Amino acid sequence: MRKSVITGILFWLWIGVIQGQHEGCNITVKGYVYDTTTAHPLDYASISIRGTEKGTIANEGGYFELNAVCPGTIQLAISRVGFDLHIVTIDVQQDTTLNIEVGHEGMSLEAITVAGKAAPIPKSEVSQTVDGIALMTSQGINLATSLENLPGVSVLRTGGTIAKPMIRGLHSNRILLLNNGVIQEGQQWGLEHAPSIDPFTAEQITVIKGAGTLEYGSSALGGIIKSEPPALPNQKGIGGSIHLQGHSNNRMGVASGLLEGYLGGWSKLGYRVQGTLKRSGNLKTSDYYLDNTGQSEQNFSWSLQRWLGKNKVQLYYSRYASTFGIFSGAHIGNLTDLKNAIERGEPLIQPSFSYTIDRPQQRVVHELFKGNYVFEWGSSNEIHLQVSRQFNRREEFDAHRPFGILPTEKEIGDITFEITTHSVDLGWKHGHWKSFRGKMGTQLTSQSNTADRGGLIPNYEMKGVGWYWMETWKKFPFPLAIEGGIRLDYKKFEVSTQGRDTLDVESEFFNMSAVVGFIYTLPNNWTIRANTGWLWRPPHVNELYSEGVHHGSASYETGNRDLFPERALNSTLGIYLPKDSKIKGSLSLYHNFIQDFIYLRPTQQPVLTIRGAFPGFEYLQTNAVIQGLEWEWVASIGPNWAISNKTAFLKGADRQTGEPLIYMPANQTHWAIEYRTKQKRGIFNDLFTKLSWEYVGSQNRIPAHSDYAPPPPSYGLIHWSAGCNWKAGTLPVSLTFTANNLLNKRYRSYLNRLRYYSDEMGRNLILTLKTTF
Amino acid sequence: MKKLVRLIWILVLPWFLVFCEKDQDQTMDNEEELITDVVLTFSDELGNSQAFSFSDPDGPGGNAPSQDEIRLSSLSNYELQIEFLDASNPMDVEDITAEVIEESAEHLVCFDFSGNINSVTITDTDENSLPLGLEAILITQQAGEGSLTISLKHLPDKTNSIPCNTGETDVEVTFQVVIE
Repeated sequence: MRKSVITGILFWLWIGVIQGQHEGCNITVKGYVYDTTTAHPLDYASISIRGTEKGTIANEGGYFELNAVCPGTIQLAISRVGFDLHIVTIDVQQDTTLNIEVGHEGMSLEAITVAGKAAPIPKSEVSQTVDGIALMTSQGINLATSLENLPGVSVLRTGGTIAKPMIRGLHSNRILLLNNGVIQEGQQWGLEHAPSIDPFTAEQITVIKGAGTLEYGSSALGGIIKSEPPALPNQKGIGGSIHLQGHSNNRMGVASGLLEGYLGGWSKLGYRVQGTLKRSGNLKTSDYYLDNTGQSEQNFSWSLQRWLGKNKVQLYYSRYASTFGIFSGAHIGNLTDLKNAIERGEPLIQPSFSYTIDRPQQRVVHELFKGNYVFEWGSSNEIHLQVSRQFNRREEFDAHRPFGILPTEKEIGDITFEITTHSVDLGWKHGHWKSFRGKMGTQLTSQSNTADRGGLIPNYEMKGVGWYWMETWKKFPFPLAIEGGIRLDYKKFEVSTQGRDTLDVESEFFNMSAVVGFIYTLPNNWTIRANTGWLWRPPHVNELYSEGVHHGSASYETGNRDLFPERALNSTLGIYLPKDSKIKGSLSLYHNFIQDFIYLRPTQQPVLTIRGAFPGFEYLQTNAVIQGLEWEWVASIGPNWAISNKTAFLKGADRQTGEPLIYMPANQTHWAIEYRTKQKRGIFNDLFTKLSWEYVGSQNRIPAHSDYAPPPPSYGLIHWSAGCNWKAGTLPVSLTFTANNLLNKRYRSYLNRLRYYSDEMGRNLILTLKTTF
Repeated sequence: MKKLVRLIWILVLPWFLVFCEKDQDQTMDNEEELITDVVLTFSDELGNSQAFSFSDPDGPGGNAPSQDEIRLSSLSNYELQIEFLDASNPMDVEDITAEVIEESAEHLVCFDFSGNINSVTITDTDENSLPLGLEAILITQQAGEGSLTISLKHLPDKTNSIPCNTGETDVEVTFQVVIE
């Protein structure tokens, strides 16, 4: 910690020394505007300098020129019909030539803002983004739920409040979560461990499916989720937003506020303070309340940025603290209890509504502190250094307080894990060099975990080093872009004690991963993106060493110290329709072969304990294949109506036994019809209403004798939402109303680990109000 | 000077806003209290008593638990007493039974039997005058074999028609019984 403090101060001081020089306003900024997907020049785009009157229109060849620009940091806004508003922030001290690539308007009807830098490097990866209204209405629930509507993304739940995202059937250690540029390090291995991120810190959340980038690590066999905050302001002034949300089902109230601004003049300081409060009570299925299913959450973050010419220093801190009640009807002692619960069909205790969160419960705290320094020069050249510290504490409280402890000490968790991670990230990006653009970098990670009370996971220290290099080749007007990259990783675990035993063992892993891909634009402007990655993931500590009973799932898990790293050959092919046509859409096909796939297999003999016999599970390896097909499209009918569909098929198989893989998402499809108008109706603007139908099939592909109860049947749900904007005085207010499970349908989901005990949530009416000032 | 004060202010303020949670346990404490032993004491009408136990001092996993075979006389009435112990530290054996009695309304000992056992009847009650099960009367049949399962339920619904199918199981052990 002390090191990162000193580094932070040094940057801060150094940046104060380098001051921009002021000259007259005689600089020329010129360049070309291109279409990101086709790589063709874009005609007649309008280019303006934000905060000034200055602006111009590009000619038919995409060329533009702005004269008499004052030196300093400017924001160029590039807009054109059918394209996203694109903002480029640059520092100009002399005549500058720019190549700006602009993306088409988003696939989803909500406008996607591509905030960013000049000329993003084309990517062969398949990625999707949630932002705008879709993010605004789901932000109050949790991160995973925000992503649930993307094809290929499912949510693995433990009850109604604990949700973790799953990309193409893979989750936990096989997904990387990037929170504001830092890889989230917590206790992400467990199925019932939700990501500790406040979705209100994000302006947009992007999911990269399959092998996309090696920049952040090689273990993301499933994909990467990036939660990205908005850029800090660099225009003088103060602003903010307030976001309020109310839910009918669990009487949840969420309030999130943000205040940001820029102190001009000498300090050149941009700042933001943000906080979220959330409180909910018992969830209700279509027929009954679920005992002890409330949640309480308090999050806080701040960031500061100094931007002087080519240098940018940023500090960011966030704290997430949440208490989850665990549905008491699902807390069982052994297999007999589980059998009794399944036979009952409904929970025994069906209480009335209450906000009380009692035992059993989970308490999670996650802290992130990072310092970031970026030096930019020329066209898209950059060096960055990032230092971060994360701390995660997870306490689990059983229904029964531990024996041998006085009731006055009731607050001690039955299991406590504390994990601290430090990492340093150094990277270099280069702009055009003979049609090549690329980046190279290295990451150092050090992590230590201690487990108190309970020996399910041992205490360990982990050290990791990674190095990557990625290049993209693209020569205009040739319609093909090629990308490739390699990565080397080294990881070492030192395991000290587990429960009462001293292990003192070390495991080391070293490996290489690689990715190649291309983007090809057909003459009719369809785009083909394809990539293949050779990835690997070392086994994690839970897979190597866990030893103990998982009370929630009534199973005894045994780790396996002889596990090898998993190796995956992950290929994706995507076809994208041009985004200015009447029908927009994409289709992707993927095939993910995982050699030495680590999974839990039931043991022959149950494990006999004083609590009765538990079915035993041990970690073993096999060869697995997950393949699938997914598509989404939106068809506009006239100026106001649109129909859309998102569909995903997935199949996972164990190559050695020929049996299906367990816990794979079922096939699903989502239809929606939407009406939207830009016309003003009274005081209301941008009215929209949307009716959608979500259908999830029954998961029939499960391994034999692997489950306590058969998978639940298929279900269809109807959701409805509507919203508008208006001006309350000078304040723009946006209001949405959402009805999830409008018909209050009773159903159970295969991917909910508590499906043995209760139905899913019934109807939920959500009112969201957001105002920006 | 004013600039300097502002600089210091800007530099110092952020550090107050970092809560910096730290790993709380400087001592490696992985102790967990648990029930390791169940002891059944049978007293016959003459006042002779015998004790049988199920013992797993290293907790779940590790070494397999050890277990006595219960040997009783045929056609007899026994007073049965149940004790739960934490003997994970042999130097400091803790009696968990006292804690069960303290929270008697939240606990219930259930008996399941088969073979030549005639009946098991709970004789003690909790603070609400509902059955508790730390004391019972067991009646044997003719010579032969049987089994006896003892389970300790936490937060059972004692008013349910089958109370032993409710609650969370803290203990569940099965003894083989020989009736001579």
